[in-house]
Amino acid sequence: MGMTVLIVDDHPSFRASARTLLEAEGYEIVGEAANGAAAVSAAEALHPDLVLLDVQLPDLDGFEVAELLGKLEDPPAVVLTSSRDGADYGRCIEYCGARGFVPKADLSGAAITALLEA
Amino acid sequence: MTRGRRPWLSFGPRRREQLKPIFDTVFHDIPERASPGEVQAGLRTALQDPSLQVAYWYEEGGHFVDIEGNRFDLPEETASRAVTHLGYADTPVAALVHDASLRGEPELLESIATAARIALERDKLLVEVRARAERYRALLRAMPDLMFRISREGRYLGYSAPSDRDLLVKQVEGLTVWDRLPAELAHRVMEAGRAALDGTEVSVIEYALDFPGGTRHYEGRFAASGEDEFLMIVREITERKHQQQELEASRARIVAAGDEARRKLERNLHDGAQQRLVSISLSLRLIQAQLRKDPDGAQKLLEASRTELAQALEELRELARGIHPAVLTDRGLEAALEMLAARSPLPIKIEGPDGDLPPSVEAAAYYVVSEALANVTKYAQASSVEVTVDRKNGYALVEVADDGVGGADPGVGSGLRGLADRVASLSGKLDIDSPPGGGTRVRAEIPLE
Repeated sequence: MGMTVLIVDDHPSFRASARTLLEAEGYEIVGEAANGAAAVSAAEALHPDLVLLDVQLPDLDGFEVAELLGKLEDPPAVVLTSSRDGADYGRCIEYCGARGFVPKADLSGAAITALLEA
Repeated sequence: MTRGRRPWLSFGPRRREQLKPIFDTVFHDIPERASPGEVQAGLRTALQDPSLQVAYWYEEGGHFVDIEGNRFDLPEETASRAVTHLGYADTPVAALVHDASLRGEPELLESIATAARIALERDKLLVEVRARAERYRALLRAMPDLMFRISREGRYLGYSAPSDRDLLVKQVEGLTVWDRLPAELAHRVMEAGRAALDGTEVSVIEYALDFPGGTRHYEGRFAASGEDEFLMIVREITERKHQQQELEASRARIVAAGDEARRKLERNLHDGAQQRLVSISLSLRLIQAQLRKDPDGAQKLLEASRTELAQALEELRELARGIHPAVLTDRGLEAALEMLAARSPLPIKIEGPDGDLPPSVEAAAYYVVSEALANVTKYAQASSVEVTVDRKNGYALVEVADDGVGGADPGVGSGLRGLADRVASLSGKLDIDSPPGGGTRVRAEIPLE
């Protein structure tokens, strides 16, 4: 059985594309969330191995959500994503406890695996 | 007349021999203790002429003055009044206006003139000082500014106020700046006043005072007016200050509007075209993976991607139009207005300008029409709109008039405010006339130079 994933993004079109793409590469998508608060609740309920987390959300930003997820009893691995470039966010990515960042346009199972194995 | 001291003059029959020593005594005593009024009173008594007047020659003014220092025009000689000029060593000193009967006693008058010389010369100086002071007072009264004379120690020595409107504390004289002004302002006043006393430059401060009707702004200028006193000349600058504040606020709004527009643009790009392109990128990756094992699925994904791409392009075009309408740059204002009219759901009659306007004026005119039309569509419930752009007396006149419900409030909403700022930045003005039920007329006047 593949790695379980929670996809967090406020754009349904991205959630749908990411689901199709990751499922094609053997990941199991266990849930989706459209904002930060829903992401934390879903992670608590679903215990995913990985949260694919958009940086720009309507309530909290991805960095805050990553910190909250890191405080959970069984914290998932977090990979941040955005249609912006990772360099736009400076060192926020490493400070928030995420395992890494992948630009949305470059999203693939292989890119995520590479980050998790690093 | 006695007031506790010996009377000046008291004599009976007038005989020159007898009178002269008396006059000598009297007038030699006077300089030490008599004022000009007392000299005149003494002469009235001596000559037994209660209507006698002393006039002093005021060299600087080229005329006579009375004992108060006011201008005094000598009367024409008549049967009852006579004028005797008194001068010493060819210098005019004074004139006596007296009863004509004294004409018959030239020796007496001569004696008086001789005896009164020192007193009159001294009085002339005193009266000249008064006349000069009166002249300065008249000058001060004629000035529209509030003016204070303040000692080096901060005590008010005098003031001139066209009205008491600008006096925070109505009483002035006898008080110090610390009695009348807020401590911080009193400190600044004294600092500026002493700087004026110690240097040669006029120093200036600006300050605000809170009156019951609101805050007023003032400019205070300081100049030395003696060894140990300075003048503080105050002018109200509230209106200028308000204009300055409005200008600064307008500039700040223009900058804020620019920032907001860029934020909105970034957000629109991010949420719109960028998301679609990301989605297309992911789809292409999927298509690549599916191409061999699921060609039908790949075909469907390609179709969806083409639709997504068309939408992304349309969104980018829309955004570009919002940044700056290409038609305005390429084809001019008239074509740009026609484009606005074509996109409006209402019938719009356009009367364009004859010939081109400067690019900045065309852009402002375009945005005035664009924003006004957007408002008409959203709020006016109008059935038709007329757009006129004209040039007159060096101005571009832009007008958008609808036949809708009216009642638009220019103070509400950032759109009209932003337009007013844009027009003001070109030294133009924007007027909105929108009586309830009477339609709305937005009118901009923008100078062409």
